[in-house]
Amino acid sequence: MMRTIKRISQFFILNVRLTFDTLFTYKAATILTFCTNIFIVLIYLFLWKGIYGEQTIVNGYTLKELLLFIILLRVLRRSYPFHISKTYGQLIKNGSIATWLLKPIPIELRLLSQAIGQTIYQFCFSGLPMLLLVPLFANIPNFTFVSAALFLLWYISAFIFLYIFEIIIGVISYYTTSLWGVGNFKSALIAFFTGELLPLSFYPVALLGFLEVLPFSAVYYLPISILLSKVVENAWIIFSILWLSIILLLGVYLSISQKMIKRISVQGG
Amino acid sequence: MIKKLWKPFKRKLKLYRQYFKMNLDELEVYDKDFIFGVVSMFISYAAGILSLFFIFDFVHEINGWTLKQILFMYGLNLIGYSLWSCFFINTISLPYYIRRGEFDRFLLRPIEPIFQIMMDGFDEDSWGELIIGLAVFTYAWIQLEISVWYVFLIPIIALSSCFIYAGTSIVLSTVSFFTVSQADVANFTFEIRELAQYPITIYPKIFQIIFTFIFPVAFVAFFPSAALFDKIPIWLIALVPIVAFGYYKLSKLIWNIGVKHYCGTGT
Repeated sequence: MMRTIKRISQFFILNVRLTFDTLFTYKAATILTFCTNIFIVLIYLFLWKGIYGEQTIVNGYTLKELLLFIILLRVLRRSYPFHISKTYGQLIKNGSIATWLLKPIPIELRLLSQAIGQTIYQFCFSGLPMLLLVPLFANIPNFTFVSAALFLLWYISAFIFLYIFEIIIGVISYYTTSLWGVGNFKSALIAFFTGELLPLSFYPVALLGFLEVLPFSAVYYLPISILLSKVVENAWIIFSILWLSIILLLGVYLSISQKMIKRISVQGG
Repeated sequence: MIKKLWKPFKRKLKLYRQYFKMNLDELEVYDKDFIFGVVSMFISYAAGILSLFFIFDFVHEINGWTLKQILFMYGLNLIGYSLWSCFFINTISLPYYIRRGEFDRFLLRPIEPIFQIMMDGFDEDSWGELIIGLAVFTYAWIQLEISVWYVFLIPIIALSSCFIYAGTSIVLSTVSFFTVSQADVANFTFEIRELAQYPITIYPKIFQIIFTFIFPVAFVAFFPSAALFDKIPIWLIALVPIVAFGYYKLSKLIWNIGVKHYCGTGT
C-alpha cells in the first residue's frame, strides 16, 4: 500500500514538472503569452477607467479598488484548471484515451498533475506579470497573514471544485465525441455565473439572490474579497455550499464516468 | 483583363464549394456538439450584452457615449466580426498546423497555402453571431432614430470590417512562422473584438495609434459610428473600405515574407 502511494506521488510530481517543462520549452511563446496577457488586462483596466470617467465612486468601489479587483480576477483566472476539459476532450477525439486508460495511473490523477503543472506555468508567466501592474494602477493592498491563509483555503477549494467540474465536462465528450460546443457552453456559463465579465456586485439584486445559492461566487468574488479583508456576509454558508457541491459533483463524476467509458468510440480525429 | 482576373476567382469558387461540403459533412458527425455550441454562443452574447446594461445602471455614459450608441457600435462590430469568423477564422490555427507538421502538406499543393488554411475549417455558428449582431444593431438603430440612408453603407462597412479583421489575424498568425509554437498571439484577434466594441478614445494615446495604424480595428466600428454621431467629420467613413482593402493586401505581403522563413518542425 505504502509503496503504491509512494510510486503514485513520485509519478505525480514528475508529471507536474514535465508539464511545466514542456510548456516552458517554447521560449518565444512564453514571452508572447506574457505580453498578450499584460495587454489584455490593460484593455480591461482602461475600459473601467473610461466607465468611471469623472466619477470617484461607483457601486461602492473607488476606481483604484475596482482596478485592483480586476487585476486579481485576471490573475486568478489564469490560476484555475480551465483547460482540462479540453485536454480530456482531445484525448477522446484523437484516440489517445485508449493508451491512457491502459496505464496503471488513474486518468483523473494524471490529468490533475497536468492541471497543476500548467497552472504553475500560467501563474508564473501570465499571473505574476499582471501583478506587476498593481502598483501602476491601484494601491498595494496590505493583507494580513489571516486573510492570506483564508484566501489560500478558498482558492484550493475552488480549484478542486473547478477541476471536478472540468472532468465532468470532459466525460460528456464521450457522448458528443467533440468538445468544442460543450466547452464553449461551459465557458459561457462560468463566465456569467462567476462574474468574470463584470464583478458580481454590479449584477441586479434579484440575480444576486439566485447566485447566492450557487457555489460560483466562490471562484473569484469571495476569495478576492477575503484577500482584501472586505467583510463578506454569508461567506461561510457559500463555503459549505461549495464543499457540498464538490461532494455532489464527485458523486456525479464517479457514477457517470464508468458508464461513459463503456460507450467510448474513437472517431480517429 | 477581366477574363484574366475571373479565371482564378472561378477556380477558387469551385474549390470553396467543395470545401464547404466537406466541412458540412464534418459538422454532421459532431451534431450534438454543434447544438451545444450554438446555445452557448447565444448565452455568452446575452451575458455580454446584459453586462453592458448592468454597467449602465450605475453610469450614464462611457466617455460621452450613451448605452444606445455603445450598442450601435457593439452590433456593427459584431456584424463585421461574424463575417470574419465565418470565412477567415481558420487563419488563427496556423500555429497548430505548423506544430503538427501539417503545414508542409499545404505547401505541396498548387493553391496558395493561405487559401487552403481558410478553407480547412469554417465556423458555421457564426451565422448565429451575425443574427445577434444584426439584432442589436437594428435595435440601436431604431432607438437612436438614425436616417435610412445609412442602410446602404452597412454592407460596405461590414465587408470592410471583415477584411480588417482578416488582415489583423493574418498578420498575427504570421508571427508563428518565427515562434513555431502554441503562443496564443492569433487568439488575440478575439480580444481585439472586445476592444473594438468600445470607443477607442477611452484608451491611452499609444493604444489609439496602434489600433488606428498598426491593427486598424478602430475602422471597424469606432470611426463609422463616431462619424454618424457627429463626433468626427462624416467623410472619414470613406476611409473605411480603402483602409480595409489596403490592409488586407499588406497582410498577405507580410504573410508571404513569413512563409519564406518557414522551416518544418520535423513532426
